[in-house]
Amino acid sequence: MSLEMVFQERNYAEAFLSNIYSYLPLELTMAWHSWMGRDLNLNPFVGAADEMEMSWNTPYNQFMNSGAWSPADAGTGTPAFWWWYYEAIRKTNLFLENIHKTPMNEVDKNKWIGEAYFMRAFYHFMLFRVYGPIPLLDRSISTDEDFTNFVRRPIEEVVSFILNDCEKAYPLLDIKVTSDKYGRITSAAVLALKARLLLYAASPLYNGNPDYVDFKNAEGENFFPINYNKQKWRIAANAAKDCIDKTEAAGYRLYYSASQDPFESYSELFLVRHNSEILFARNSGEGYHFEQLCSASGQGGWSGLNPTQNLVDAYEMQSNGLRPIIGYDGTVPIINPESKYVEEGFTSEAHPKGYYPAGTCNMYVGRDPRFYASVNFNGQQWRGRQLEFFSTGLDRGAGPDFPSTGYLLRKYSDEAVNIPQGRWTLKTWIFFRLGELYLNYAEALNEIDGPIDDVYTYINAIRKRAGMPALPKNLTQDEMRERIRHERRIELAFETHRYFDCHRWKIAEETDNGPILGLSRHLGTSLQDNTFYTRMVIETRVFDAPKHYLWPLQQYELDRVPWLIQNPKW
Amino acid sequence: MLEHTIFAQTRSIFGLVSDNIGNPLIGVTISVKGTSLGVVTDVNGAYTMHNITVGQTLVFSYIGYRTEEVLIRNQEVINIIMSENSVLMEEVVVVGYGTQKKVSVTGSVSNVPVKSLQMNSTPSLNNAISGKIPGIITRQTSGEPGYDAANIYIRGIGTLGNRNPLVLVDGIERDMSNLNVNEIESFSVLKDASATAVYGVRGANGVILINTKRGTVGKPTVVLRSEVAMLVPQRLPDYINGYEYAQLMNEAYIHSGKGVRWSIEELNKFKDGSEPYLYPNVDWLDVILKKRTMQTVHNLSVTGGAERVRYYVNVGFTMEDGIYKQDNLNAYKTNANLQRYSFRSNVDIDITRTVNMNLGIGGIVDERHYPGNSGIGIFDAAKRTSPISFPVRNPDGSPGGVNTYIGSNPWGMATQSGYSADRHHTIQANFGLKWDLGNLITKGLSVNGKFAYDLYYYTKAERAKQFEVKQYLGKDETTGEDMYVVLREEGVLGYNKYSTGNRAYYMEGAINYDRTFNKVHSVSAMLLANRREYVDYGAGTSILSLPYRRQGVAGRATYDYANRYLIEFNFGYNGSENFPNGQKYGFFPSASVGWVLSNENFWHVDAISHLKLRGSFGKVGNDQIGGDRFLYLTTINKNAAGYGFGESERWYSGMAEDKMGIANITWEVSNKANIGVDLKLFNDKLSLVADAFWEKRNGIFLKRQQIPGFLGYASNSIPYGNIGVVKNRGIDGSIEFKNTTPEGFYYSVLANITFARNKVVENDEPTPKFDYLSTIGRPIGQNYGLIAEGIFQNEEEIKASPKHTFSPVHVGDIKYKDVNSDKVIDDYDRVPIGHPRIPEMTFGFGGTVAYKGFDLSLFFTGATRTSLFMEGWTIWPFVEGAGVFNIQREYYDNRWTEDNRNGKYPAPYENANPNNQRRSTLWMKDGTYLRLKTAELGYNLPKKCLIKLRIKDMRVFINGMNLLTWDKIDIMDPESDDGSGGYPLNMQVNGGVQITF
Repeated sequence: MSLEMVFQERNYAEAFLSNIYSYLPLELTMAWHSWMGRDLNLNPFVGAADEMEMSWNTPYNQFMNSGAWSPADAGTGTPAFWWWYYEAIRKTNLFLENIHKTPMNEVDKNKWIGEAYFMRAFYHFMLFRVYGPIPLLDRSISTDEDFTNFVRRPIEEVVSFILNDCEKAYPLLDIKVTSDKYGRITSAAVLALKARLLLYAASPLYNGNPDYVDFKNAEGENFFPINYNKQKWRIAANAAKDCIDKTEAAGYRLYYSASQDPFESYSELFLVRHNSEILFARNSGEGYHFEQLCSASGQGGWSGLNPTQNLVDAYEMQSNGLRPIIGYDGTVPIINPESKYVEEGFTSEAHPKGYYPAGTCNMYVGRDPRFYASVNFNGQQWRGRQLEFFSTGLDRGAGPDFPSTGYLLRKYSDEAVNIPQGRWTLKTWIFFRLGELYLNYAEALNEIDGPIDDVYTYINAIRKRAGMPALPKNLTQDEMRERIRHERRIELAFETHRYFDCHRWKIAEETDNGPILGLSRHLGTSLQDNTFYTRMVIETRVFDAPKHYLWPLQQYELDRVPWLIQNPKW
Repeated sequence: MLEHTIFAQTRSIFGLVSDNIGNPLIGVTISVKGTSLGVVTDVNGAYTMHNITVGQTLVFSYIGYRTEEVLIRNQEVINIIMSENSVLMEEVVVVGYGTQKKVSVTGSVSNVPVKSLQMNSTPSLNNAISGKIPGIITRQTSGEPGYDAANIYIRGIGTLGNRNPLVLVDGIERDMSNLNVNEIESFSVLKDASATAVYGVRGANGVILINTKRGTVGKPTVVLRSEVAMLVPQRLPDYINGYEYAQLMNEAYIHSGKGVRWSIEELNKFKDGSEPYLYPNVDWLDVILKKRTMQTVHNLSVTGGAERVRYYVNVGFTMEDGIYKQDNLNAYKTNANLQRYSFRSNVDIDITRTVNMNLGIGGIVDERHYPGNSGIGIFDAAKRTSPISFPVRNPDGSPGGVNTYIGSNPWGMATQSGYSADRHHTIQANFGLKWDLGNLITKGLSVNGKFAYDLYYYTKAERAKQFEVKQYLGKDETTGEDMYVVLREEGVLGYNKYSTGNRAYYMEGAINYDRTFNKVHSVSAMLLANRREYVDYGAGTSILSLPYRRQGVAGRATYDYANRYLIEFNFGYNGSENFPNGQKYGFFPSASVGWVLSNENFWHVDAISHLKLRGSFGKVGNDQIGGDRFLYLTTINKNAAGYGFGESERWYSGMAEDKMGIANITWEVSNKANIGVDLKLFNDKLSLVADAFWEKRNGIFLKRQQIPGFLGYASNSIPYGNIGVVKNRGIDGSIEFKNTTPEGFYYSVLANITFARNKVVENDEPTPKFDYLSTIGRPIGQNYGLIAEGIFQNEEEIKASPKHTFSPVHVGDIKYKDVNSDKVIDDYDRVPIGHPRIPEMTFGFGGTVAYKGFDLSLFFTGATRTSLFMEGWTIWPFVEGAGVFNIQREYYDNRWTEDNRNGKYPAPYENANPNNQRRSTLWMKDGTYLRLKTAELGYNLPKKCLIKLRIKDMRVFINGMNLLTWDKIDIMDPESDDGSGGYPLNMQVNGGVQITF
């Protein structure tokens, strides 16, 4: 059977398109592990940002964190973005080049073409966000062609290439699909991709970054624009607003649970598949056993995904919206007394709505409801009992499978899953949701127009859903920027945003460098043993600026394609 | 009759006939040449012949022995020592599609005396030939019943692609590993182009020809052979105990800058075993493995024949047990076990004086039994599970476990996981006809035809079970009840059936011509056509289910002038459907010459009884490419990854590009040259064969390497090309000395050696950043790694050294050499280190002494110029975190600590350490070894005693295999794969009896 024959049958052509969908990364699988039988990890980003640590040393983010990664890496676990996404792009091009031959109705055909254009844009974006300037492939290339024409293209060209595909895709797609088509690409996804792409393009890493002044191609052309262009924020703001307006007109909304409770709303947002807030999500089946990765060992899990103390300390107090901890003296936190945060002791009362049980350490009392929906901590109630992460506890883990920071990831976890009985649920991974678009819009708008009303409106909408007080009035542009960045860190935690946000803001040399804190999980003999709650350095991360802002091209590819230019300092 | 003899001077001759180890031979026929006179030897091997005339010739003949002729002058006593056929000068050797007199062979062909293959009891023929044949390199990596066959490489490795030699049993392509050694008549290895050109596109990797036994005229000879062996696993890993393990964990935590994992009290609990359920100390290998196991082999054969019909029949039974312990509470067996029944019958019928028919039937029923988990799985679990992970069983008897690697309790895996029954059935049938046209057309002309049908059927009944996994948490403080976490619930004994099979038929027709003119001009010619069709009944795709067809023509012409000058031409013209039309068939010619100097008239060196020089050159091909077919066709993968759409995630299957067809793909071609010498000295007591060979293989199938990744070709879509080039050269040879003293003391020594070195000339590799990283110009399988310069002893040394980038470096870590002097240690500092895992040189030597019925043989094998990397889980401490994976004592005893600064291995960390745990010279070991491979002590009972029992011969013997090994590794078998060991090789001690009626 040949490619010609595939495109003579509608069913075969559809199977070809489904295969292109399969390249949407399974980002829920944040920690690649050898027993999972996958030789590539397409999401090392969560564990490489300051929000997450892994109990195992083998996932690739651990090599990034210790600075021990290089273009020469060839071992298992090395992320295969380059091969993976270019493979997908070739297939998309083959589809676009041949689909016109397929006998079928034009309505469906056009939708498929729109989906393919979006995926070509999306896969290029996935490469752009790690490698920066990349070769752009708008057709399939035969092995006999002269490859030397294909070189890395400057950032602005990459951005317009992706935008161009978005423009082609948009008119061909519906903005919403019926439940039998959940997972198919909509024009809402196109608008969201545009908005995120333009937000990135306006950000300091890509917009007049002085680090890349000398980073040029063979013709002497700069890969990165050397002059800052403030108007890019305007374009980004408009794209985000456009997405918000059009999707809300079509019925997309921030998700609220039936009870309107912030904790339940935020928890369910990630469990109720394709809810009203979701603009694009990957259907991930139930075969990847996400809960096993992040569940406690006493409940059959591997304790693999461990939120950092750094993130835990960042959640605001619900009552006043203040950050409880404003810095560290070594591993000792500098507490903001105005926040009313109490580090020591244990509460005698359970949370009135059951966010935590009685006896919980005061550290965890009175925090942003999103904290309870995102992080499981020592003493938290989960699957019918209190979790025991302390050294002799039920969930201390065996061998390497222990919560290295003293916390386990809760976001995305379904309490109904039962690991020993092998009961799982269908999962999705959200690429775009309306909440992110609110934050994108607010950020871009604040950069171009300062903290005007619309900035407050959209940030406060997010905070309101989270049960958090509105932002104080009259913030300066810089103060607002800090607030927005903080809000993204909390609202979008573990959604693969933090890594890229810190990179594009050019603050990764602070956030991804230095100590990662956790609790003393090798101590403690009871839930209320204070020794457990002492912060310790879990890992000291290494970030070489500007080298680590972009990924290296693999040496193996450079050997074959010597005219590709390696990213700076690699 | 009397009248005639009166005129001549007649006399009586008497004497004794014995074999070369001094045993009297009973029933030897002594006849007078040209007459019908004849006698046979008695039970003492004695004979008397009357009325013999001077000038007559006595002929001593005995089945299986070289016929001796003695001219009568004035002797009265003629004692004859008869030697066995296998050492005959007139010996016939099996060559491609025929046989040749050994003296006239010009190609490179090695034979192994079949007797020497029986000197051990391995059920796998692959293992029996190890070290016995010049030109063959073998490596056995596992002793697991049914999976223990050694890999075989003829003259090393000449290609980057498929290296398997072609194996023909009775002229038919068949598997040799399950062939019954007792059924084998001859074992030949064709090595050079001259010998293999007739196989054309199949010949490049060398050819092994095995013929099974046939009948001979005579009364039925019954041979019963029974053997029982004890198998003892060798070189099991020596893991540290629970206390040592826990204490090493603490050391690792401290070294990693973290608090200790276990308190002193806890450490003591591991030591004194006071709380074995919460603080266990388990020697898992001891829990799951027996100290020794059993094997038994029985064979019964009958050979014989009358004038018109000759037959050979054999029935054999082999049973080998695995080394797993069993749980007696199970209603079924779980230990690995192999039972093989083999049947073979070869019948030759002379239908007329010129037409001969033969029929051969062989059957092999191979029934194998395994635990519910594979050997690899069980041994991996035994590596993975530390002595302190969990108890073998909980207080309530259920298998212990923790949440890490649920279900990997080695005891549970070996004994509580059900079982699987594998059944392999093979039927081999071949039928041949030969018609001698000597009287009809011209002398020396014959035609023959052959048809063979082989059927293989495999079925597996898998009765696997998930055992319950519970973690014991101790007693509840208030109720005193045992507390558990149920990690996995018990499953039922499942039932899964797999089956597959294949069949092959083969047809061959040939014309042969063989004639000597004027006593000195010997010519022979052969022209043959054949066709094979193979069908895989278990094929997974429609393309693979199509019959595999091959057909071709082969020919040979030889000329021999007075046994002095030999010329031979061979060719194969054959095709493979794997290639596009117009390119399916190829012509593979070879030519060879020989000069037997010792037959020249001018030759007067008495000490040298035979000297032959040989040389050959030719071309052969290899069409095997990784199981793939029809390389010229572009295909679509109909089972590509798909996607689930909709609320219920309904599955939509995927389709994708698969293989790209290549229009001009063809086989790889090997040009081979060989020169050799055959030498016999001192009345044939010393014989030597030596060959030097040279091979260049062009057009090796390789995936193109230089296609940029950003073009987006999936790895299975990247086209192949005939792009690789590899050179291979070396020598092989053997030497043997044998003698019987007048006192009847026999001794022999023999040795052989094989050396093959290959070099990659082209493999389409992209130019690496540094020249030394290139694989071009290096042997296939060259290892690359860092050069370790020792262990960092202090902070100053770290500061003064190039930056080690793999992970933060501490005192106690490995220090590497900065090869490219860029002040940074990274993967670019890897250089070629060591030798490939397949040895460049293997050798074997040994000898036999015999006196008065006793004989003792020893045979040693060895290999050198090979490296083994002792790396991975159990030698790299805590590579997946402290608490999982056992630690080898080798590491524990030799690690660096503050108090042992000369320790050769780096200090432990509580988790993986990328700086230390990577390929470097520190973990490299020289894989050289010498092994007492086989030893046999035998006693042939005196015939005088046996004759009353109507027994012709009786031999009792005890032999052993893998008895002693000298090497530089000690902690694992020197033949094992890199990393730490799996199912071990066995030492075997085997006793048996062979009775001939």
